[in-house]
Amino acid sequence: MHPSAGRGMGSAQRRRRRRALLLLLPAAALLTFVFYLPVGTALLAGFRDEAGYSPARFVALLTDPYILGLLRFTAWQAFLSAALSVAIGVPLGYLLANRSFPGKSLAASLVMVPFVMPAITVALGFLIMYGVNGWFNEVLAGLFGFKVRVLHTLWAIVLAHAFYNGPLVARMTQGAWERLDPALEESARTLGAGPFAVFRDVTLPAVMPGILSGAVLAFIYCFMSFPIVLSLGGARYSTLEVEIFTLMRVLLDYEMAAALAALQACVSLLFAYIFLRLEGRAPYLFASARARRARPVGGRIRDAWLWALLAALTVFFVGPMASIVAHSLTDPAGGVTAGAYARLMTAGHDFHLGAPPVRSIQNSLRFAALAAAIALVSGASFVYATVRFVGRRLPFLETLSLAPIAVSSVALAYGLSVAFRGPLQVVPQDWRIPLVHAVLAFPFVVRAFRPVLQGVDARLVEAARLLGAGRWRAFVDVELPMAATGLLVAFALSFGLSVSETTATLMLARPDQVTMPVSVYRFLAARDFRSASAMAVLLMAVTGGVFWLAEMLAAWLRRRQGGTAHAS
Amino acid sequence: MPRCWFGPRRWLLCVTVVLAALLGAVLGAGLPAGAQAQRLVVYTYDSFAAGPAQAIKEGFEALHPGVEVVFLAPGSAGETLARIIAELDAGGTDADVFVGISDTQLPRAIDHGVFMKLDRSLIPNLDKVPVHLDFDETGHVIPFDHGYVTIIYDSRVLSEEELPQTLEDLTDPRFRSQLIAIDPRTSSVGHAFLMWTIAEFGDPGYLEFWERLAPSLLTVTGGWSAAYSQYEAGEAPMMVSYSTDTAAGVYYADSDHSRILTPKGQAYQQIEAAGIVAGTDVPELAHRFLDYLLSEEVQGLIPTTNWMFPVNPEAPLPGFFAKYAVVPEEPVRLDARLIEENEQRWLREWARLITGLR
Amino acid sequence: MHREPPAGAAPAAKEPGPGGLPGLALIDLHKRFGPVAAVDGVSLAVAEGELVAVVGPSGCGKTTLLRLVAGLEQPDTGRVLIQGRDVTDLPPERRDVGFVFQQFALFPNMSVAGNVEYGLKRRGIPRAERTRRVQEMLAMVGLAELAHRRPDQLSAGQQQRVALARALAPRPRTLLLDEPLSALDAAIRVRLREELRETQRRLGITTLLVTHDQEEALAIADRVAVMHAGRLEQVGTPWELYDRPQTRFVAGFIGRGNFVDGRVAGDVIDFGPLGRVPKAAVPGAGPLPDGPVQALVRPEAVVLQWPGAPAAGAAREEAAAAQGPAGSALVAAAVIVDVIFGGERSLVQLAVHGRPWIAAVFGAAVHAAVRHVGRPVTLRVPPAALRLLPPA
Repeated sequence: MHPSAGRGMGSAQRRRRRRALLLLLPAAALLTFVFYLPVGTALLAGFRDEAGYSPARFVALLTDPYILGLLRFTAWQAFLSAALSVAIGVPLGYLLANRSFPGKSLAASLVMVPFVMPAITVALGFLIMYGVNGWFNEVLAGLFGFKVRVLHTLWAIVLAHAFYNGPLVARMTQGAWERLDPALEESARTLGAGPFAVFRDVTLPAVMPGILSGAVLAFIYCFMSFPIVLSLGGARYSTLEVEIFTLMRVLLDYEMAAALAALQACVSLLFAYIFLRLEGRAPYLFASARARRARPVGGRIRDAWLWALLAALTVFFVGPMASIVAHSLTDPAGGVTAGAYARLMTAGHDFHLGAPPVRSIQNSLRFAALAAAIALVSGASFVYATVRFVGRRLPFLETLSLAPIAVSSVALAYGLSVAFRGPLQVVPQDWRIPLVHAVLAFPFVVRAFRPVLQGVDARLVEAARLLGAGRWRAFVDVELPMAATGLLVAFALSFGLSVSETTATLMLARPDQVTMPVSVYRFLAARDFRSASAMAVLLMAVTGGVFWLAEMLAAWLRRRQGGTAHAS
Repeated sequence: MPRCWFGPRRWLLCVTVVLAALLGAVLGAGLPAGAQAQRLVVYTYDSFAAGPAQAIKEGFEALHPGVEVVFLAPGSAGETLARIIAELDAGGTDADVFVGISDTQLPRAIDHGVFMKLDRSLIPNLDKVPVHLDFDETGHVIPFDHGYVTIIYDSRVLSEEELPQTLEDLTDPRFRSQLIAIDPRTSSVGHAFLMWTIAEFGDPGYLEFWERLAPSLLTVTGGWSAAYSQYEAGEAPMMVSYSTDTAAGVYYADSDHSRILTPKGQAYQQIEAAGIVAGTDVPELAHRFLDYLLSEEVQGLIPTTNWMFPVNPEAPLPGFFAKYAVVPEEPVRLDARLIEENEQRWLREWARLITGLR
Repeated sequence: MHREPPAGAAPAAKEPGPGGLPGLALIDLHKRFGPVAAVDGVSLAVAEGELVAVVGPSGCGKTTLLRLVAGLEQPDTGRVLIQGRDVTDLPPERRDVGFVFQQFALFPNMSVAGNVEYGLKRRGIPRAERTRRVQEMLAMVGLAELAHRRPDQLSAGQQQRVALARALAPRPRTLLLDEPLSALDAAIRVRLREELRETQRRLGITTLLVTHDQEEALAIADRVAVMHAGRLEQVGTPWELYDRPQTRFVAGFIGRGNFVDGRVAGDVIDFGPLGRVPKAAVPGAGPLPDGPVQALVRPEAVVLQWPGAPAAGAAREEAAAAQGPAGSALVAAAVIVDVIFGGERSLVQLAVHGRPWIAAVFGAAVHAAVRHVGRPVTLRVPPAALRLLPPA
């Protein structure tokens, strides 16, 4: 028998365990009550029939060649999309982590804006950019005399998904890259490795966890995608989510929809689990002792390809956004007008309760701020407990923490709308949407904060404690300032996610709770396309502004802390 | 000893202040609830909320002092119906009235017990509605507008003589990738067009038609606005849309380049209806609201705010609307019960055909 | 499971602390990480104001031991007492210990002064007093002018000093040092080690130092504890460990030496080709039963005799004293392989019956040894210089 077995746990160990449980509590409460119970109940309906529980529907789905075909295509387009997101996100992450160039901080925040754009607005941006008469084809026709069909193909879907998710991969990659000690690369150079060998043998393995982290999120996101797929590819490229929508919202066959949503969740979680296992195998690196110095993209021939890359990325990301701005400023006859913006300031639209549509900005910001705060507190404490008190990777638990984005948003919205009428009735209306958005943002907070916290050397916490700081005090004095940049990224992601979320918002909102993207859809429904674009521009500007503030704050913190704290 | 402004303790302070501010903002901004007012909650679809709803609210509240009308639009008519049913299943809904259910959705709504039976004597304006529009024999809903789904085309691209004369003509190779259709699973317009093809070609026949039509389809979008944007941007010269689109084009953009096709004088008829949600605690007020919907005042708003035709023939039509909006000689409708019985199979067969997965 | 504390590890306070209690007492500590027993029954008492160095090869559990004392790890069983008070269940911040990490662990988000001030702040010391104390500590380590620098702007030596100042500023009852000098280069290491010793003496603070460097341990510790595979092999003053190692491991780890195998047979110990010595002439051999035995011979105990010259070597006098009846000392023919010049003391590498030996020579003998490289000499070890080790 082991000596400790006889005496039981020491009180310090008990304290440690109590702390870990306490820290896991907010996440557990949030996910259990606002996600697992309501959504689980909804999905369980797929396995229930008169006789009790049975897997009959599940089996029927799995033997239906149509469903299997949908599943195959859904996974294939998600894979292609994640691959292109990585292909775009990694060079972008490289530029953000290693290079300085004019307008970098603006670019860093601008690049996050696609994340909040309503699907229908992205579709319009792509139409203006890549349509047969779009800017891209006009330039092609002018230069080479031919046009290419981009829209209505698989490539349009993949491009749009990369437009959304490339920045996400870039963010994650950038974080990992900035933590990599330049001395590692330098020592490889002195050992005779050329730049490519250094990248392959040292840099890539170190950055891989970041890339994979971004790729997981991108894959799951694209696996769940639906409006983008239908708008840019068309019904020929239907995904599982379209089928779930049809069953749940059109045919009201909740049982079949639930079974299909369960199947979809299983597959996406399986992928998430595999990715997380892979990621867990990558070696972990502590924050670099020395800050990476961002070298300017200069005027030498060697840097020419970087300028080309910057230009291509600018066109890719700014193009569709600029298209929307241009669209919002044209009148139907082709002239320039700010009339759409004037209409946003005018009262008289019922869906804003008679208030000017700009009022929806207030709603969006209020929900997003609260949602981000809830997600941040629960997500950060979850990460903290797993990193500091558990200390090893728990792929299963982490997969569960990713579940909110791996479940069909249609099914999620349905499950929650039922729950808020039933057991969750006690939750005040003002908290419902923020809570749901917090659940959806939770996985992003975990993915963004975890590597940064791991980069803060645990010995610093020990040092603080030995100097008399309690556990909480040590966190506030040492870890919080050092991980602040990671928290800011997490905040920006949650904020953006909340601002752009529509499916659950529409299902749960009260009449006075019109948010910016909802307002965009309402304008479209009212055939006011210009005002819809103008509202989308405001949405981009407001969230871009929030991202920019976060970026400035992070840069300022980084400057104050120098070397080791340079962790995101 | 110099201290950094952003010292450890101020961190805590900052976080606390921000959280407190957020909390204040959230708790401070509640719904301006009129406790004294009698409330009528109207669920509708998004473009109705964005269209005539505001004027209806103001008009009805002026007629009934102390009453507050609240519109809620969770999405399309189908999505709104889905939300009401989900809420009823979960124990209750806030909705007193549902405005905008289409004739094809009615059987499903009745099966789920969404509507109470109406007391038609409380809706005197109903007498003005022509019998052929008052489609509900079960007495649960009243029609309030109707519209026609058909093909619109860009007259700057397609000349008169090129135009298809029948739905079958659309399958001609000269229209390769010339038509933008809309997904019947996610859009009521797309749904109506599919029903039209079933009415035209019969039950197994419609699938063969779609198979022939497939090469002519540039794309099948998820919703009307995505399709319309693409059509307007010149991606294709024809799309599935409403027969009021020319009028809307004149109204919004002063351009009549979008024209209406009525193959063989036909188009698919959509009748939109309103009913009182079962379990409402203000049935009398709800009846008066339905009656108000049929008043000339509201019916006169329908053309330019909802781009549909009023059901009250006494409502005045704007001149340009009368000129450009097309009522087909022969409206097509499929029996709602037939739709209810076969819809799942039709949608699935259609989806298998379009995606090429069988 | 209970084990007797190893010999020599019993509380051995030189000066009693308040109330006669040792400054730091570890009682039968056990700590297991999975299958590995990192600390396996360690007991140790450190007197008030004493500096004890725990020395051992890497992986022997010495850092874990230190972390158990600091409260950074919890023992599976056993207690930690600081000035008689049981702190085993206290969190690190309430143990009142100063800790210097191997890589210093300075807070990168605070200035040098901020780092030093931190522990004072946590103890609620008023600002004026804090400012004074920070200045005092920085002056003590000679870094007063760098107070506003950030840690990443300091050299390793400066960082070490800041770490020490930070650990000492709150005037802890106990100072714990985890390889505090190993991150520094050789020259600065020796200087800082003397500074460290001087500061510790002046403050009279009970100190536990962990190091893998036996030279460092012998140079600054009052007592040294040799740790091996989670257990303390022997605890004693540097001289005790050197002169009277109690295990083969301690003998090999502390200082250098030659090991010879022998066998006790009746009144004599037979060292084979090296000869036989009377059992009574060898210290500590009295109670040994018949059987195999191993003896340690320190290099300075080896006496070299050049052909035709008197005995040379460190133990010349002892050698002379040992010139008794034949067979009373170990004697062998040897060949000088090389001489490693070392200033006041040089080491001679020898081959004795095909096995390497080392001997220490001083002064003029160094010169003689150099002249005899490659040539045979006679090697002689007086029995009193033999240190018997328990069989492995």
